[in-house]
Parts: sequence; structure tokens; C-alpha cells
Amino acid sequence: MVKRKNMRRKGFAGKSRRSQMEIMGLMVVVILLIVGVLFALKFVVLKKPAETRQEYSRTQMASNMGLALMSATTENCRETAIKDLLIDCAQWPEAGGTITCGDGSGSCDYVNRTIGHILNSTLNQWRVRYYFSASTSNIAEDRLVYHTNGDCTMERPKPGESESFFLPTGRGMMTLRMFICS
Amino acid sequence: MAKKRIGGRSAQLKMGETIAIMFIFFVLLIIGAVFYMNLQRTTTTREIAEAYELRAVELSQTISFLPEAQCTDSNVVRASCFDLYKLIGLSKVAETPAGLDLYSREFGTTTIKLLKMYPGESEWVLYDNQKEEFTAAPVSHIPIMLYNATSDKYYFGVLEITTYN
Repeated sequence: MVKRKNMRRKGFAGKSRRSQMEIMGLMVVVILLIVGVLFALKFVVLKKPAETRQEYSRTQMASNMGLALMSATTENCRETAIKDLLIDCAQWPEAGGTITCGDGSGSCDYVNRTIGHILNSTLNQWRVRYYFSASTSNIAEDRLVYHTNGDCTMERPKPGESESFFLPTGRGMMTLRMFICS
Repeated sequence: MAKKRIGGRSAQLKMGETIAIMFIFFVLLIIGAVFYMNLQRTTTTREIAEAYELRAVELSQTISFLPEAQCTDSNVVRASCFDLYKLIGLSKVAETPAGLDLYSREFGTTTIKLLKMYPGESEWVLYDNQKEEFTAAPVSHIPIMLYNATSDKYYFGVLEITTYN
């Protein structure tokens, strides 16, 4: 009788161990499946789309915008180019520039308005976040021209593409910076 | 007899178990296949979009270096500068069937506009070959320098490129 009981116990113990092993096996399979799905989600679904065009557009836009802006001939300011007005403004900032434009304004005021108008009708319309600055020093108060759109400012640097242009003036090198935020 | 019955019931149970396992296995297989197909579809759509993006980049490069549009000074090309009169001439050539056929090899199904932004505002359509049916038409803007050789003035312009997907 005792032998039989022991045999039964052994049989039950064997069966329950086997079922435990089966459950363990199932758990391993489920865990492997979950890990696989998570990997697929990470590398396929949540993969960041390539920004080829956007990056290229930003770089080209910053570079071309600066070049085209500097070279543009003004509408009614003695047919001077914007870069010449910027140089004049940088040399005589206290007087607001020595060149008097057709509407009676000085070069600093005129160039600021003109650049603002061009940026407003282009980058602002295209909803591009940017900042444009022109200065002969690093001090924020000394900036001759400063235009911004959105939360892309010089004070709070953000990732993006920039292009710098340099103009020699009597007060040192003037740096024009066109920064386009991503 | 009793032994036979017990044996038959256990076999039925085993059969049921096997059928249940097979059923769960096929359900899992179908779910996996559907998931995989959806992933593949997403990847393919993204790849197509990337290809169109690259096409737009390629196109903007082609236009930027077109000899029939660039400004030259004693045969020296000026960077990101376009001759206004050359571009107006190009727009007239591209209007003709022969011109459209010639430039369609380079530009394909796109619309290219020239916008003069400052001083004053004007617009010219340089090339227009729209696709009859398209799902999206991303627009790229390239700021350019426009040179007026008659008055020796530079204008601020923009090339607006629309690519039809």
C-alpha cells in the first residue's frame, strides 16, 4: 500500500514538473515574440524618416538667401546694394548711416526695413523658422540688423543649418548670419 | 470495456488538445503575417516618398546649374545668380512643344516658376508639365540672385519648384 502511494506521489510530481516545464517553454516563446515585435517596432515603424530634402533645402536656403539678400539693389536708395548700405550702417551706427535714401531715412533704418520686408515675404510666408543678424561685435545690443521668426532665436540656439557672410567695414569685420532652424 | 472507454476518452482529449494548439498556432501565424505585411507597406510607402524627395533635390541642382540660366561675366559663372533675360527666354522656349519635349527629359513632370520678390513683384512660369493625376505636390523654394544685364541691377528672386508625386 505504502509503495503504491509513493508511486502515485512520484507520478503526480513528475506530471506537475512536466507541466511547469511546458509553461516555462510557452513563456520563453511569448517573451521571444514580444522582443521580436518590439525590435520590429523600434527599427521599422518608429524609424525616423530621412530628412534628405529638408536638410538640403535648409542649407541651400541659408546660403542662397544670404547671397541674394546682400547683392539685391535697393528700390529707392541711390541704386546701392543692400550690402553697401549695411557697410555704411556699420561704419556710422551712431548717426544711423551716412547715406540718405529716397524716403529720407538713413541707411540703417532703410536696410533694416528692406531686409525685414524681404524676409517677411519669403521665409515667413513659407513658415520657416529662422533668425538673421548683422553685427560687428558679439554684444546683442550692438546688432545692426536682427530679424527672427518663431522660437528660433540667437539667445536660445536650436539645431539647424547656418551660413555666415563677412563684410569688411571701418569698424572691423561685419558678420551676417542666416540661421534656419530644423 | 471500461479500459477501452478510458483509453478512447484520453485519445479524444489529446486530439482536442492538438487541434487547440494548431488553431492557436495558425491564429498567431495569421497575426504575424498581417503585421509583417503592414510593416512592409509602410516601408515601401516611405521608400517611394524618399525617392521623390531625392528627385526634388536632383531637380533643384539641375536648374541651379543650367547654362541657359546662369549669369556669366567673361565666361565666369557667378554662384546662385540667374540672368533674368535668359530665364524669360527659357520660359518662352519651354512653352513650345519642341521646347517642352526637350526640357521634359530633364525636368519631367514638374512646374518651375520664377518669382521676382524685390524690388517689385513679378512672376514667370519657366516650365510647366503637370501630371494629370498626383497624390502630392511638394514645393521647394530656392532664393536666387536675379541679374538684369540692361540696367546692371540685381534683384532678389525665388525659384519655386513643384514636383508631382
